[in-house]
Amino acid sequence: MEESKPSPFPPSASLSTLGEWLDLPTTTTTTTTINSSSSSSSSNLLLLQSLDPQQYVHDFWKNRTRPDGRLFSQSRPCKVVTGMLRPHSAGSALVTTTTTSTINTTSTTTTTKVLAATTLHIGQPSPDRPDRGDIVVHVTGSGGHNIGTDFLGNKQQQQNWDVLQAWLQRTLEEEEEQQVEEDGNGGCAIPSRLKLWTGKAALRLVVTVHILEDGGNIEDAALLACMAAWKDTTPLPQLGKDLVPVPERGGALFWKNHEAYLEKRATATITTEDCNNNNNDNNDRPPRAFRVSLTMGVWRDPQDQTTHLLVDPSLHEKQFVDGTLTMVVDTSSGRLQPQYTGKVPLTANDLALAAKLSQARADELAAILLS
Amino acid sequence: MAGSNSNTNKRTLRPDGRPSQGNTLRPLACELSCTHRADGSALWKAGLTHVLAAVYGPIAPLVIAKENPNLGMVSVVIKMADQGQQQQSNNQTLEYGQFLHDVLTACIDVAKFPRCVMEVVLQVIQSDGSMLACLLHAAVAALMDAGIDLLYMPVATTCLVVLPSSLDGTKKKKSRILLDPTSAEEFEDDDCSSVVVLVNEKNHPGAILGSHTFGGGVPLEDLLACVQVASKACHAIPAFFRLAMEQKVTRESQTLWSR
Repeated sequence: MEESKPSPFPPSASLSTLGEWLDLPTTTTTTTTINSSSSSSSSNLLLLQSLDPQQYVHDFWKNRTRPDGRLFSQSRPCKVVTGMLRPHSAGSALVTTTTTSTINTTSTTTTTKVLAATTLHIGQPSPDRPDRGDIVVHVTGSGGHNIGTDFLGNKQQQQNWDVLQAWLQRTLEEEEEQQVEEDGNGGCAIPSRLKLWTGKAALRLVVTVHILEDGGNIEDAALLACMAAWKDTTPLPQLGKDLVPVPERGGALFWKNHEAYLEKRATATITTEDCNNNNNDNNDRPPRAFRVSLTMGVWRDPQDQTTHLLVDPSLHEKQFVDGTLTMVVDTSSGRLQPQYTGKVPLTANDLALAAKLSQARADELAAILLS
Repeated sequence: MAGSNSNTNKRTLRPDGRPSQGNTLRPLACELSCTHRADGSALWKAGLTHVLAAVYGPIAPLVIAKENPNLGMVSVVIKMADQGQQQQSNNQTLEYGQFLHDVLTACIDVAKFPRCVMEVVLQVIQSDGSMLACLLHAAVAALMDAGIDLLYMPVATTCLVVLPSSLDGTKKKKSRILLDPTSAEEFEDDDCSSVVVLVNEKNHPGAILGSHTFGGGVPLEDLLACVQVASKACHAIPAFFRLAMEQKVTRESQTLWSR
């Protein structure tokens, strides 16, 4: 081989040099036999992960585990921080889910981080819904990916965000409708929380969702962030208490004492909740309905044709599942909204198992949302 | 008297004249190859809900970077008839489009069409309930007309689940499930009803391949009851597809060979 022409291949065809060529962590040849076998097996694992990621993931699933060490029915640890944008927004919440997978000494952390903030606008209600307010959702963010000049990638991501926006908007609107309906027992209808003055004034809740990092399962994190931000949006201004109509100005609404209202909002504290710890300290408040979702990947084992549900799939796992099932649960009534598309048919047993997992997740998150 | 007759009718018939038991589909009609520019087209009618579908492809994508070297891609475009409520229809169109894209990608043999795009354009001509199911059936009929290989034939069933409510004083303890609801039925009991759309196929009638839910949600037992209803309804639609295809083939043979 001529020295003037650099070869694309390393001079010796050993695994360690192939790992260097592929920019993988290398092993030293002076280690003991046991260490070298384990370190070489971890190099093989890394090689498999980069050359055939589907087989890499399927090898874990066949052993009924996942690359990050979770069980099939286990969600990633999640943390919710509310009120960090006060007083600039009416309510806010930051949801973070993190998972770490370790091969030998190499650790890979994937994080999903979603920030939701709410603002309130006062306006005129629609003529066909004079006693209801309005909810508008905007989804933005790059998801932690540097799209740059990749126009097609940017367009695809915007399309995904648009679908997520439509789903969040519909879910929040249905939750608000359900709230009005459920409180109307006994013939005495309790008005919508966004109503101010029938036919004349109502609140528009604008929810802005910013995807800071996309590590998989954006839907669950975004809905949880919206619900936590909505719950953090207190107190809502009320007619007669915070707002008064001024007849001289054509019945327009004016703040009674705007500084006092802002101070009331600013004095609420920032809270951090860990989704895996059930805090049932405050059970005195009446339960309010929230909606939480649980996304599961569906995978069919090709050997025995059994169907498995992978709770909270990561971004890496989502590429190789055979279907995606998202179950939205109402925390008060337990009603389900299943959304499924995939190649694997789901039987009644699979649906019942998914419902059970979703209910358990809803119970876990309800402790945070209702506290 | 007319008043008592109308009350009796309310108990025995649904608003569009179907029996109140709720397990009857609306009359179906399908016309294949109704547009000549597209590779495949179908006009699907279910009662007063009319959808026109056109399929273009498999063709090479306009942007080469959009090619997938291993699999074909499916693109779904939906145009709604209702232009009044723009924002609501935009959101609905996005969700429907994503759902149909996922279902059609799973049922089309995309491995046979690498580097190709199959564009499905759906125009809603008239809307009277069960829109998502009609969109899917129209798309499948147009794909069959275009001669695109399908791994299975998806069938969508719309179930309106009316939950028991104590607002009006009556004690309805069991939910009612109405098959293939009209628009009036979907919005009638807005507060205590949910619409569940289930997709399955004839070979696995008891299992679902897709699901989409609107409204407040349903209890688990009602969801499983909807799966049972869908499993019984999924035999009727493929038979109707076969009938429509046979009529088209017969019509074309008479046209081609007539002197």
